[in-house]
Amino acid sequence: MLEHLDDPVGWTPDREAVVARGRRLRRRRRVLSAGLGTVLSVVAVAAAGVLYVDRRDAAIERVEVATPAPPLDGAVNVLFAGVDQHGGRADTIVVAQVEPGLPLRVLFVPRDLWDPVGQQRMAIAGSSPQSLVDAIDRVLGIPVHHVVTLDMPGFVALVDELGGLELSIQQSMRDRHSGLDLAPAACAVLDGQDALALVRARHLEIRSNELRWAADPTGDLGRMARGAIVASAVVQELAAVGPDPFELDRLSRVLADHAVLDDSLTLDRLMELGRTVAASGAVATDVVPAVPAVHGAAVVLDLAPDADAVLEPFRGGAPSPTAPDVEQPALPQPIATCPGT
Amino acid sequence: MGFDERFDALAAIAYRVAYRILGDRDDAADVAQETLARAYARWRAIAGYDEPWVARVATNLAIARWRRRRPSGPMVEQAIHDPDVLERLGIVAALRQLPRRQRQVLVLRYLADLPERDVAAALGTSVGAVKQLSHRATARVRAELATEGGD
Repeated sequence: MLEHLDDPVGWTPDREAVVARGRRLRRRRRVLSAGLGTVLSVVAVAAAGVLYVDRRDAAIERVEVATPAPPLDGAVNVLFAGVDQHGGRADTIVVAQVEPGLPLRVLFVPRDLWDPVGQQRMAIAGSSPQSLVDAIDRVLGIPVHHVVTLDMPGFVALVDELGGLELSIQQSMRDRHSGLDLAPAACAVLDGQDALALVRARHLEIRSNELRWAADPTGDLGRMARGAIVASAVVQELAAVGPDPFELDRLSRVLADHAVLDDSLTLDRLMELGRTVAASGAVATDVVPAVPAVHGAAVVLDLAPDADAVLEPFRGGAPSPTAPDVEQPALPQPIATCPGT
Repeated sequence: MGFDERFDALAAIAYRVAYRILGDRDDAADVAQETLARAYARWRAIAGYDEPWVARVATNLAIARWRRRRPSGPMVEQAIHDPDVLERLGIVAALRQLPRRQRQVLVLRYLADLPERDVAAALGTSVGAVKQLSHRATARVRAELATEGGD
């Protein structure tokens, strides 16, 4: 009766991905059900909160990643990669530098940045945490101490778990490919799906004052600028989480289902880093300066000649003294963090 | 039977159900992958009735995804001109409002295409009862379509 609604092309399932995810779910279920009785009574006892975290910690998928040994002087670089469902590509690559007493510094790495040694874009290097860490070290000279990869449903779940993101939308925006459809609002609350559609928008259209839809001209740099604003909003929400054990439990469940962490990043360590960020309260974002280039048949990006000024703080150096605040010319975007937050 | 031997059959059901509801390859593929992963995680428990289980979970995941879409603006315009989209709206509306037994039959018989005998076994009832429930369920879907289609 409903055959006319079927997909004429057909679909091939990814068996490996199914089994990998199924194993992860099975592991999580085992850990949770094994400890459930104990956990319920344990939550009531403050000191045993550590045991609770340990069980959650065990449910998170980890990989061993070799990271450059020397920690920077007091600063820790955490690499975040937003990966597509099957882990073949990193669409969002961010290095966050955490240092007590200083604003969180966030560096967006363009996914089309070319790695001459690996002969591939950063997006493809992101197919595994180790190869991405190595590529960032080689191409940008930035040492990475911890890695977190999160898949797209994980980003949606994270935003929903945080109660949504508060953003000010100045003009109507839509992107048919990513499913984005936002109307202007002084302070809108975006749920996980909206937030994902926003960060994935590569064919953005904006409604001008003349009420006509026009393609956004800012391209991938614009996408990263929007990503920076979304990142600020996410950090703000995370900082507001506080020590509520149920909230932390739900967040760690999102990690267990969707994230991969390096094996030295325990939940305790992650929470400690989070507290440092929450205490500083401010976020400074940058984008790796890059210029279009061609390698073989691929149109990609190369590091711009003046990239060092932006990269130095992440390498452990101080920002260049001749240009204390080297910022890229701001690409105006029709979104911003909410006023008054 | 092992998960591996059943994999292709279950994948086909999950994708068919998801695509008939969502009408989009990527969305349907995501739902199907997630459904299969959950089936893998619970295999020992569901191995005896894997097909109805997969059909039910795929339906639930697809509807959850549909609800999050909140059709508005360009999507509603499209619906009025595209009979397939209209029909999907009708199916989703019916699924959310049908009494439990009729919904089960709609899912197993018309979304998953399971044979009447298998549907009867899954519901613990007779083939005759399945036929009756089917009539009522499809009548309801048509009624929903009439409402969604507007004047």
